[in-house]
Amino acid sequence: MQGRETRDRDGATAPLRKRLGWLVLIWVASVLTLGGVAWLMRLFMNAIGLQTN
Amino acid sequence: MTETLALDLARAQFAFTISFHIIFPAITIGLASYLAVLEGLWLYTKNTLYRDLYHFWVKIFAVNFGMGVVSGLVMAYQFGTNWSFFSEFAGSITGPLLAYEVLTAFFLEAGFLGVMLFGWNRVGPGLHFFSTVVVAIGTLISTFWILASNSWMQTPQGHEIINGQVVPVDWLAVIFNPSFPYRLIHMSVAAFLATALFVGASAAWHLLRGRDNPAVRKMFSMAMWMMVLVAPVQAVIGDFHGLNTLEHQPAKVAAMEGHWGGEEAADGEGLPLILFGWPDMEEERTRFAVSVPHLGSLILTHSWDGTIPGLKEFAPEDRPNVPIVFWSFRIMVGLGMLMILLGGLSLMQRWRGRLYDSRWFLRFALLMGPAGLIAILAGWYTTEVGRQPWVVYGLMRTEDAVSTHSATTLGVSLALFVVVYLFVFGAGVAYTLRLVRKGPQLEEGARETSGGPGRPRHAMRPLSAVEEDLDDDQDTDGGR
Repeated sequence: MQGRETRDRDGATAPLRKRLGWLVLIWVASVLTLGGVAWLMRLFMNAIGLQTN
Repeated sequence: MTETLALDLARAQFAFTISFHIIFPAITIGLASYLAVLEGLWLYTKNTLYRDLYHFWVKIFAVNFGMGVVSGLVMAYQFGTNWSFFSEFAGSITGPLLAYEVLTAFFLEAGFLGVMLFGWNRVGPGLHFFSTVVVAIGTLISTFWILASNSWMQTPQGHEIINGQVVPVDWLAVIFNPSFPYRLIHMSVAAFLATALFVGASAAWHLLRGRDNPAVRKMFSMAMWMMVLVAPVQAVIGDFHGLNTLEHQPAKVAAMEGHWGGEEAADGEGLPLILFGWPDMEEERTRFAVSVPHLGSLILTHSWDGTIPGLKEFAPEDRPNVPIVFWSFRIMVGLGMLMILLGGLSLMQRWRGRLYDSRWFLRFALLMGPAGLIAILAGWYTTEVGRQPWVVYGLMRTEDAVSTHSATTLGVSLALFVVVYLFVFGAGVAYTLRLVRKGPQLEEGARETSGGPGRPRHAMRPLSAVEEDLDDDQDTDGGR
């Protein structure tokens, strides 16, 4: 496990497909997390009576 | 009387919250580009000092980014709660521009920030560098949209007013309004300078305490080169920005200069530059003025005896608060000149071989740490107070933009903002300074770290990406 991670950190030996997969996964997770927080805030605002026209 | 108090409290609330907020995005903009430079230099030169500095500053960047997002949310809500008539009047322009900023923040900054923080061991150096560059570009695109919105409020164009509401008719004219390019460049460069001063002061603090290592020297050297190369350029940009303001908002420039009209006659010819004084709005003159003949003409009109409109040419109800604009402008310019001085002295100390061990110079660099942020605040006070009494210049007065809340409501909410902000962001800033105190660790990026996807400890938020034990201080030298 340790050896594989070291290879990954150095980057050159991990396949490009795998590295791109991690990039997409982390990016999507980051955006979804922020989107989830924004959605919760919207729910909270609606709950206290704030509405769009 | 009560309405005036409510208006002043609403303005104070906006000024307080945005003054807190602007500190964080300014450092975020600068640090994002700094991190991209560090990672690029590491990949290009293979010098691990750049990688170690990247690991040190990315933690501070993460904490700063988080505080910027939280403090920025408040601003958006205030447009609706406290400035509802402004939002109703101009929302069809400011709303879409701010929405573009949010999309940028979501899909470029926040998305690739995740890769920056948690992808080091996963995506490889090339893709990680790509992510860092995208975040840096994202911060600048965010700046683009925010400045487009603010600049339109300063120099509006590309719209029609239909049924009492602004309607955009030419989006390119709206975005690329006359003051926009100057504001965008001036603010972006200010953010770079403020960050460089912060980085330089952090390094100076470590050097003064005897924590001298190649990484500390490298970041100090880079920060001082920024002062040498960029601080003078900012002065030139500011000059162009001032000329643009003179063309479109002459009352603001007259307030910045404390120029009421008639000073030329006292001097004989040409406009003097008032260095110091106290603008008296009742007597319509600048008292105790210390001035340099003709210098005002040279700076403002680039001619020996040119002149500009004085404040008396504008109706009293169309003038901004002159003392605030006059003095905030001088604070900004004075700090800018100190930055140029710092850059010049760094060249001298570098030439003498004393850049890293001259204590008086290091103390000066340390004292200049907050100067960039103070200059940014002073500059924004100059331009925002100078736009008064208009919220959208020439179109809508600030007194017509404010919601109909009572002074009590605004006073209590302002007090709550002060208490909560001092607690939350005070703790955030203190935490950032503790991270700075730890200093860059040599060979940090070469060892395994915990946290991140697939790791024993999952960091789920930017703040939790900071994994260092803060008690594990780098006090190997006894903490002198």
